[in-house]
Amino acid sequence: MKKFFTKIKNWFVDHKPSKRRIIQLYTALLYNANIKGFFNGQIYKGPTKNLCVPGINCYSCPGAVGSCPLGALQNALSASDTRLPAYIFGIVILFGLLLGRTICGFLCPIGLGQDLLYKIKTPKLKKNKVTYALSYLKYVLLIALVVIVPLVFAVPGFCEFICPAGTFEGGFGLLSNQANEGLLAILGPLFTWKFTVLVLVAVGGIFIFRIFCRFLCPLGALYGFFCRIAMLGVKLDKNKCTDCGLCISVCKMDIKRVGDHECIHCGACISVCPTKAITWKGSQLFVRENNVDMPADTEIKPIASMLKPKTETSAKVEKMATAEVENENE
Amino acid sequence: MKTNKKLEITAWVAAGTLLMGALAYYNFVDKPIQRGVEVGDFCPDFTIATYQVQDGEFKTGGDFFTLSDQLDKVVIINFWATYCAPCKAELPEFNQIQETYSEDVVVITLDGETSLTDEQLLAWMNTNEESAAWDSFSILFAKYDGSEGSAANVYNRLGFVSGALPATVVVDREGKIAFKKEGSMHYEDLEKVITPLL
Repeated sequence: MKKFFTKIKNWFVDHKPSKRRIIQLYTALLYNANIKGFFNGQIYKGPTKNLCVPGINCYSCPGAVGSCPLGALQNALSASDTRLPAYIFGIVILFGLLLGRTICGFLCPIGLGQDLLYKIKTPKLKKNKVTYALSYLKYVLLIALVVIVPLVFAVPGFCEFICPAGTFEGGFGLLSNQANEGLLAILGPLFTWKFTVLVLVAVGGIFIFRIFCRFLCPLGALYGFFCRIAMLGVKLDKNKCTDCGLCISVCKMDIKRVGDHECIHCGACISVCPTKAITWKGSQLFVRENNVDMPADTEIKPIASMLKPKTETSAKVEKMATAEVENENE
Repeated sequence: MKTNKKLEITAWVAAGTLLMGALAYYNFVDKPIQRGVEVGDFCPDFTIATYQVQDGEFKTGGDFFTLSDQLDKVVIINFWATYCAPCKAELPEFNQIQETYSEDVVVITLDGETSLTDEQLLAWMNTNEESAAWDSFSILFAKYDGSEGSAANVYNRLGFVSGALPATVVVDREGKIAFKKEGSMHYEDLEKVITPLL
């Protein structure tokens, strides 16, 4: 009996969620805080719906308290004679500049869903030349369905014809409630098609890591443009990098370099880098720097000043050490 | 490193408070605004200018429809929009009801699209293939000001807040709302609703 409880305890210790997973779960819940919507089958339409959440989360999900940036963008472009597109573009650019594709890794419920699907133990498809090529499909979808179709036909193309998140959250979220029985009668061939896409993506996601993010998601494609300038994410210190390629091989996305437009900044490469060349960029407010690994009794100041060439991180160490010495002197 | 630990704890606490606050607000504080009335209440009166048909074309300048003047019959008020496929699909069935029960029932169908003017809506109705047969219908067509908070927003005044279409209200001869629904209605459904009211 005791052994059984020890086993259970060990299971929980082994399966302790990472910080990233906690943030993902937190985000999914926060985006869909209108829990009562799942019970009464009505979507929330209050003031916070005028704002976009950073990740993909369907406007029509009964729980959603904000808009989906991708859906909002398409609808704004459909009404392109108004000032609406400027407002939505502003929001999306702000998210891009602040967070970039860190949103994909941390703040997207659809990413979370795929991460969990991929945990099902089956043979997995490794990234290869085909997946590299397919990763550009999302740029095609971005231009065709998110920009051109809404502008020309005034129809939110991606939402209407592809988006499996919409089918899952909006479609099933609403249809599963008895209050919306009437909606069942009006399902047509379009729903059949979208349901097929959803099933393909969901089943594909078990075998292929983040199939939707890598090949289909136009929002990820859009945020990818901000990979160099986003404030948060992983970065590579070229002075420390030995080009061993371990980070690329451990990464399940179709990246060519750490932190490029395909990188979702999940941080999986940080722990494998033998020279600790990969770190989190951004303010110390958010993350602890992992660059100080000298013995505690070392005289920090002389060693730090001996480091040549002087890198950004060593300069910081020096500055911190100086500050500490000064504090002690006081 | 001490400051980082403090910051981390602050961040977790702030995040937790935000989530709890959001859950409490959305689920317990925020209630859907009740602007209208429910089944069993007296239906708010309204007057609206209907469209007329001349030479097979819809035009403005039809008779005024005032709910309180129509109560010698059972009134069926339906809401539709040009973008709403199920709305357009159910209109012929509403017309069928109107024709079968012409002595006892009056059907009016209303469009409240804020993006269309009267002229644009009429142009749509007169040129679109889907509405080609509508000029021979005996149900009444009209457009109301569907903007949020407008006193002329019949949809809101009849107690609908979701924006869902199609929507239907049936008013009995006493002027009370006998039936209310968001979603498609078929001939049989309508017949079932109005039969006890006739």
